Amino acid sequence: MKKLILNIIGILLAMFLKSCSSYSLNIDTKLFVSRIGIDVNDDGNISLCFSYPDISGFSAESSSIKESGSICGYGKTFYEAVKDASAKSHKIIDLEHAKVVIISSELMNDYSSLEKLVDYLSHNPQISRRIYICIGNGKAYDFLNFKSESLPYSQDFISDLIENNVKENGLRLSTLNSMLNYSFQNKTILIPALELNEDKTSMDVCGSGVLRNYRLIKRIDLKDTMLINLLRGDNFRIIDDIEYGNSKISFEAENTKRNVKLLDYGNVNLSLNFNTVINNCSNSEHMYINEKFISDIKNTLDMDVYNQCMNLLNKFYRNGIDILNFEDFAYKFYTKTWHRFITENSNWMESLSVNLKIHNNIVNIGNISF
Amino acid sequence: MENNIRGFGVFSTFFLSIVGFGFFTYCQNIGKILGRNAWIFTILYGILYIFFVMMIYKTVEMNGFRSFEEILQILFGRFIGRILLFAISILIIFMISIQLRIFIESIKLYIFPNINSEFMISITLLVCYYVTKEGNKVLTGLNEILFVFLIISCLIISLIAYKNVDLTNILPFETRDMSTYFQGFLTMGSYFIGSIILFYLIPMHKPCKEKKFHVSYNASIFSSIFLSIVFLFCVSVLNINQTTKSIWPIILSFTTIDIPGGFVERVEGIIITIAIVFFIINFINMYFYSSYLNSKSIGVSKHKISSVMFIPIIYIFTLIPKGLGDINFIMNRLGFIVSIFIAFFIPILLFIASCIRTKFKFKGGLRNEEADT
Repeated sequence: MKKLILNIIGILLAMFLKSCSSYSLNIDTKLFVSRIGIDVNDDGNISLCFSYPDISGFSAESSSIKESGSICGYGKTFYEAVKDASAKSHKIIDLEHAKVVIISSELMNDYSSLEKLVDYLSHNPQISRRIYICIGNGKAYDFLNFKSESLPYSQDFISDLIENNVKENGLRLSTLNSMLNYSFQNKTILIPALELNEDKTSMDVCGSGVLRNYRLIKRIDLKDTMLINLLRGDNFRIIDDIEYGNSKISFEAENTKRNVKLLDYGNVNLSLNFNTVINNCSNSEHMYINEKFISDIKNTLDMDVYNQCMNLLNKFYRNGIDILNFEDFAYKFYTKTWHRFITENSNWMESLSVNLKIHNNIVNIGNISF
Repeated sequence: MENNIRGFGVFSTFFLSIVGFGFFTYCQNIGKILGRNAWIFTILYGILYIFFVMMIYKTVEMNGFRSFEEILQILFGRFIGRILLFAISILIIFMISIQLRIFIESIKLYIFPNINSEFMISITLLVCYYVTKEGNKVLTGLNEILFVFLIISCLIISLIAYKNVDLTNILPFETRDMSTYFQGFLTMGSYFIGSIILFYLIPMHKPCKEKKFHVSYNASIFSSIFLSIVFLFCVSVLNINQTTKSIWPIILSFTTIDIPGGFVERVEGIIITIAIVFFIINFINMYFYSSYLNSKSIGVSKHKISSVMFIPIIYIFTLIPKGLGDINFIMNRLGFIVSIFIAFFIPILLFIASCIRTKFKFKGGLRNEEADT
């Protein structure tokens, strides 16, 4: 009797499990999106473009992607645009594997559309919070359709490009989560900006867009991005060169340690310590490298980084842009000062004075010893 | 009388009866009231809640380590005692049914969007019934095993995730008025409906004379520390605004975590599994206990019959809310009151009744009465 009941339950379960058949859709009926491009049309409609790999050639023997495609949907809302793209492709759009969102510079300047976009991305359970956000200088569609000569069908080209710039050029990754976090805390975020050359044959990261409260405040180049990230303590590596006498010295700075102290009367003490590696010194007298030379380079380097950073800080703070997020820092660590100095003084940024101290420690000069 | 359950069994069963549903929704609800500093207060409330656990322990002790149904019948008489038992069992069933509905809706969102709720509820109920019908020995054993499994999994996951934690998100320290702190305590207490299972566990595990603290006190503090760590993690990864806005903050926080090197590509998959185990074991514990209480109230010899009886009742309760509005209304109004009734009112009522009965009605108290017999 017991076995009979168990059998009946088993059969019923197997029958009910048929409801899963709608979920186990054929893989060909889905469009696995790898990159999303978002733009605003001239008529104000939203244009959503999806780039996807063609996986129809997938088999047990070969897993290479032979082709890639893109499709665009248009609509007044993001849902309408997705529906439109789905109708055009006759496939269900799957956003779970999307790695990058490219927002056109035009949409970036439109506050309300950008806010709606972030709302859409954050509400969609399919879209990962780890998805990279970047700005495309121009039409987002062009970035999606870009094919590099070496890897024409690579779907990871843009994400690899951003990750490489993070490692090499001191860029900071901006994901959907970091964008939401910074916006909720009223902080300034730097979003990587991509650029295509005129004939659209090469793509590179050209700098960053400074975003606060879903408003694009300013555009900065790659070097400034590197320096701001250094000042924020986010950057673990900078590469630059300095003038030394008649020659140029290239250096890399790593392991930045930042110390910030906010004083009561609107002064901020900011000190940066980092280890420096001298990469090359195109000085014919390099054979005479000695302690004096190292000390000279150290002082020159300190001075050079100091001047660059101070110029940058003055440029931002005199224009009322809290680029280093001192307000958030003061709110968290110096709440009383924040109440007294920042909330009651709307022009606190203009009167803020930053006392910057740079200490670099030369740890390596490559193959040449002294 | 020998101990039927060992200390670790009580600890793990009590812990998993409390931290089940709270694993998903506690952060959101306490964060709405106390903001980013709720993690400190969670630990403080846990310490405060020990008084209630102590009350339960003292009540059982004053009544000569009798079972819950006997205590109720001694204190309130056979008829009222049985009605109270029945009411408590139905209230617990009501609470876990609504929790099951929320759980199913969330599972649909994250894992199976195309499977209908009714099917998932039926499967969950069948699985839970299968474990529940085996009784207390299997149940405590299962709790012991799953406790170890879950704690080890949580430790490994936290090791993976620690790099994404930004502890500055819990700053600054904000002070609020006393009524808010009291509301926070009630909210935290509403997650402690599982504490009523102590009336079942304590008689089965009497403490040694050398031990001053019963193992349930440790479990109460451990539960609050665990909830506090979960909250701390959510806020430090997501920040307070996103934590209070999301349905399952703990899962959302793991969807943001990036593990370099691609060792595990999607950590949220692991955390969803852990969350499901947490919920299911919590559901099983409460389902078993309410079936047990119900069987005693209606005078059925075995709890299995009550368990079967509850399957359609849970199914109906689960499908009562039509939408999100109904679920919110039930959880925030009715559910809150029911939780407070079970977590606070019942222990206080029974403690006071036991004290009065011990000190005034029988001059020698219940313990002496037992000794005489």
